[in-house]
Amino acid sequence: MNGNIDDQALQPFGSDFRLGNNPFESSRRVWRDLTGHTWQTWMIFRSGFTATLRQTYLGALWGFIMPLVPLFAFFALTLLRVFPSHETIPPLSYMSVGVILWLFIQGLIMAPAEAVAKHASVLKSTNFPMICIFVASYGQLAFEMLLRLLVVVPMLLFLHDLSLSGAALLPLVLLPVCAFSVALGILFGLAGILVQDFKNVLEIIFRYLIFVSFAIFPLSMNGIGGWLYSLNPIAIFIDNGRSVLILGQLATPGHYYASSVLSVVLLLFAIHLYYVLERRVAGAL
Amino acid sequence: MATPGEFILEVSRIHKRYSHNIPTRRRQLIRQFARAIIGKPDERELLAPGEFWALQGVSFSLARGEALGLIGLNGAGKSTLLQIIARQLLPDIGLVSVRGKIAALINLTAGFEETLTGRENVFLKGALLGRSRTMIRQKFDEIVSFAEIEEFIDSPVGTYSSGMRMRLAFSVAIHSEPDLLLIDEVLSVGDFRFRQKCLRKLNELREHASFIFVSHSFQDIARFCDRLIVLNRGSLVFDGPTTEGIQFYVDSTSDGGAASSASQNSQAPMLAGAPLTLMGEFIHQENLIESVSFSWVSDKGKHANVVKQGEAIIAELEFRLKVDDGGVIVGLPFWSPDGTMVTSVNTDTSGHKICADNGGAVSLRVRFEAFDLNPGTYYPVVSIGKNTEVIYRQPVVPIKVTASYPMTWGVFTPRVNWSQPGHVASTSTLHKSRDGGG
Repeated sequence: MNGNIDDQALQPFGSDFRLGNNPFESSRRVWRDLTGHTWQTWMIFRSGFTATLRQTYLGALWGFIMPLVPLFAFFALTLLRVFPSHETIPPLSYMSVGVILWLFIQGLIMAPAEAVAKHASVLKSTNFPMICIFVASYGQLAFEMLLRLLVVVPMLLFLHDLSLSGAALLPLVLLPVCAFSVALGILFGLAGILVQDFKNVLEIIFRYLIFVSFAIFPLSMNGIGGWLYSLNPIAIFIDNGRSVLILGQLATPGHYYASSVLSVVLLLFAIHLYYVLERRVAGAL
Repeated sequence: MATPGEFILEVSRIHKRYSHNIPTRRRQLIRQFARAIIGKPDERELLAPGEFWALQGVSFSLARGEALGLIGLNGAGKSTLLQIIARQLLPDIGLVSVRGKIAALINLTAGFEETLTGRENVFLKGALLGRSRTMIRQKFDEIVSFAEIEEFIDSPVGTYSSGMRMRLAFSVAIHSEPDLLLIDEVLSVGDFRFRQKCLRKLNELREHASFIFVSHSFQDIARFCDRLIVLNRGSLVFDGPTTEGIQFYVDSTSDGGAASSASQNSQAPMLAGAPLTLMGEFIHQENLIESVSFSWVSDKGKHANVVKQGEAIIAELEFRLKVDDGGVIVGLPFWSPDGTMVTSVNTDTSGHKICADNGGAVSLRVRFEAFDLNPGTYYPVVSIGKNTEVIYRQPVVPIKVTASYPMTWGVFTPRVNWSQPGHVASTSTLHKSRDGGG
């Protein structure tokens, strides 16, 4: 089905469609698409969310169990002292904050590619904005993040490992993380349409990248560990987010600010590319 | 504000490049990605190895309220063209300009969530059409009523039959108040009765909307469309009046449409000259009905395919039902050689209930007391339906009407009496000559 083209003026649609826009104009138009389809986006999210909950005998319970399983698995491994410890942050707190941030970032990056595959028929047979499908897929992720925070924050409070000022600042500190992850998500989502086995490659990368991203255990900052940290914005965002939440301060402000600038630039580029390519890739779905 | 007669769609020199070869398609996409990044469209008019034009230089326009038929063999580019007009696909070269809201009935059930109820899916489908929740809420009762699924509206769509899903999706689309409705072969999914209902609804919408109608049913095209375009291998080869377009298409395709049905039909020699393309689709559900035979019998009990204008003639029909006889209706519509349906009789409107014997055999006679059609050959179709479904619909032996009096106009001559009140002189009866008056 078609989306809304409400203007009674003749609306042109040709091979140069959207090519003349700059990244700022593209971002403005994508934002307009999003805000113009909030209810529709909510419906897509709700249908996917309720569909997940209705599938089984245990129904809604699975919606609460599944997001917590990886967290509890890493709890167990940490309590068994499988991982090395950080010098100032206790292992359980280090791991739990790292894992929820990792799962959040991973979800933001992976969700668009999965959403494209899941909603291919809708994207192919309607002109519903693809960005709304991406955002709808983030709804499930937000729910899972909230659920994990409901487990981890009380635990940090109990362990006296929570900085209240840091907790208040955390959403702000996470904004560049979101920008970076959403940008990668959009780019990988588009790349997944171009090369369909890209999703599998991403899955493999994210299965093992966690071990070099300072998410569940620290690496020595000397030698290769330092390189892995400097070249991996995900590690920088996880490390700084955790540090703000637990210690109330950024761990590596220089790295964090540089990565934040990079993230904003990357997001602008990703949105522009998405906007220009959106209708061009529909035929390849 | 839109005004009647203004152009609602302008298609100008549309080209779309495709490839069946996966590496070639991938190369095409990469080239498009790269060109998009540098801000230049890929408008080369040459084809790379492995590529072909799915559409090549297609141009036409459509006025508000106009219904345009679109036909062509499979792979002619019909669906691609509709997708481009619906802004689902971007043309490689050329421009499409649309005025107003579009509803594209291309893949009707796309977007339905199996686990959600019909009610929820009405809102979801409406959302995918870009319509607001308030609007869908206002139209909800109409949508459900049109789709005829009132009692199932709170059941998951996963439990619906394909027909129910199609009806629901179609209903949402046509109640979304489009300015331009694109219909790609979707009506063929529904049963005969629902299709008629859809066509009636589409006719209502014609007051303010335009249509592009893709169908393999020439009858639907002929009934519904003002104009026809024919695509052949991506190129527009005909744009003009519907009847001429159908004839052009049939002439230009050696194995196309109903013409092929006729050539394969055992009665083909007798049906030469029949407007088969306009007589609708021919159906025989062999799992439901068999051994159908038909013949014309004169008043004297002899087989005859010729009747004198105004005389009686009897049609004899026999068939064997493989299902019970409940809800069975037999109809006999007639077409003139130019494709006009001149009349139709059926057991339902005549109040005759079909009864089969224990073996399912039915023997039926219909006597035309006075066959008042004007001289010429008329082509009947035996149409047998069960409830809302057509189980048999085939052309049968044509009947030739010979003249009873020298001059006739139109397709039939009614029995009339002329008189002049106040004048005692002459009272003339048109059929005097054949009533024995000499």
